[in-house]
Amino acid sequence: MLQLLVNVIVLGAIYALIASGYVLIYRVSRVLNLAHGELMMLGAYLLLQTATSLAFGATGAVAFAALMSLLVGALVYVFLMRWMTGQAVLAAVLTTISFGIFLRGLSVLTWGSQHHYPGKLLSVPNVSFPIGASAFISGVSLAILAVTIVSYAALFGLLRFGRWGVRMRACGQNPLLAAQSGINLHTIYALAWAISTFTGALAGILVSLETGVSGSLALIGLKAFPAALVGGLDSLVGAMLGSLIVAAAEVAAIQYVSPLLADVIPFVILIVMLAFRPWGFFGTREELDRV
Amino acid sequence: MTDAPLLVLQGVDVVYKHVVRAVRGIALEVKRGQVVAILGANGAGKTTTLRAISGFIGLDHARVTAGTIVFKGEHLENRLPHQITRLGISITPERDKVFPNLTVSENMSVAPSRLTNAERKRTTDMVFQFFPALAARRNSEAGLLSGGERQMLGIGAKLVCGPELLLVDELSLGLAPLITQELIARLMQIKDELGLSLLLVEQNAAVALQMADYAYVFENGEIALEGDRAMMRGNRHIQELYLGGGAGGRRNYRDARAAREVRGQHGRA
Repeated sequence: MLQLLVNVIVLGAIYALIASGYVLIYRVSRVLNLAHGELMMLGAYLLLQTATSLAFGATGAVAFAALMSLLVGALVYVFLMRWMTGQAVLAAVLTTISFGIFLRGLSVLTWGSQHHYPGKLLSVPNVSFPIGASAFISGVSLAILAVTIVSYAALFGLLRFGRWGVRMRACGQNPLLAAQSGINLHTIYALAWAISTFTGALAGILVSLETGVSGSLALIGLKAFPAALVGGLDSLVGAMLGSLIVAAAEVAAIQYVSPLLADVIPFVILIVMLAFRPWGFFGTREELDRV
Repeated sequence: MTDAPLLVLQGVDVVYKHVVRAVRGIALEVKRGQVVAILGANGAGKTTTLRAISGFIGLDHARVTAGTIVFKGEHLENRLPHQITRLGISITPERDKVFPNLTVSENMSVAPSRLTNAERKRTTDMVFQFFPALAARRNSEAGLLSGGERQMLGIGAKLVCGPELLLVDELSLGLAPLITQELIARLMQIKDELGLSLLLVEQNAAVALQMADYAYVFENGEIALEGDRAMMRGNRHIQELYLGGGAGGRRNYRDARAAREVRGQHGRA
């Protein structure tokens, strides 16, 4: 039982780390980034690349891959999403979907379709720590927990007190007024994409240290989308709560029904949520017609 | 040099969505320290003109297709709003003039400013001093403010950007006469204190002529009439159409026949 709880928390932390990226971009630009799963996967592949081609050691490789993803996020905005500002939201969302498909294709071409283990390449030790009598948590899982907590604390702090965070909230509320106040919308959007891709890539990197990387990693990113939506797409608190709900349902289904349900449950929750409370637990109701 | 106008529009056309022409051949100017008003009915192109000066974003689907807008020697046509703000023009829009989910202080500090930190702090203090209602609600969300307080915050938050020219779209709209009078008094004090120039869009001609040194009357996207305060006050048609006076009793803004008469008699100045 304790082990189940640990599993829920770790899975919830993974989803929450990914979901924060959906929330940030949605909150700042009202765009649903459906390429987020692929960007997360790209983070893991970047780690694979730094692990194989550079002699950085584990910490250096992880840090370099994470910093690269920050750049990737900004570049995605500058070269792709920037041209979608002023277009219908649907057009922007469809652009992210096609960009995601493009990334998946690109990753197969570049890194092949087989499973890679950057953790083994970097000889990251994955020890298990006992919790109480009957439960264990892996070192990587502990790292995921820590990174999620730190990321959320940083995001909360930024949006609440940071000058640029307050500007991000302003752009999300009224881009025209923000622009008229002298805020460069492109800078803010690029920043949101960079941070969002960074946290997503962190999740991808950490997950890949434990389970390796292949095209299927993007699916985990997509499974975090129901988590973000259950909580309300523009709420970080909601994303945390939604992630725990989705993780709990998924772990319970695996344990008590069938492991085959693992990839289905989040989307069942998504459908139920869309039917009864499509703006999520903490979301803003009025924004709904814009998606 | 001191007599050179701060802002000059010449022959400005604005087109929405590539086809709808909102204003045509607009020519107006604002001198340094002057208060200029734009009068006219709904849909006459007042707001469009103001927005053409302050800049369109992609979402507006609007463009200046002809003419020039020159501010202190710099061309503004189709520049982005944040670039124009940096040059020294700020706008308080008609609707959505504050960020409702940010607090009053956050609204005051969110914008990048042309001022130094010290000047910025002084301006912020001055705004809170002129509008004590805002100071009292510093930490509440702007969405909870009354209409008058929003207008104060909408103006105050833009003063902090350090503009030389402030555009105000509908200062009096939806406000009680008493509040409007107080706002006018404060705004004129602030203008003198900071040496600002003002360009106002008003449907309420009485308010506009109380403040303005010079006024333009817009009709169907063109300038129908212009003149200084005395000329506007003395004009019988302005009286009848926009000030609600005259012998004709109540008249509608959209009284097209009377409006044509106005244009026929005075032509374009």
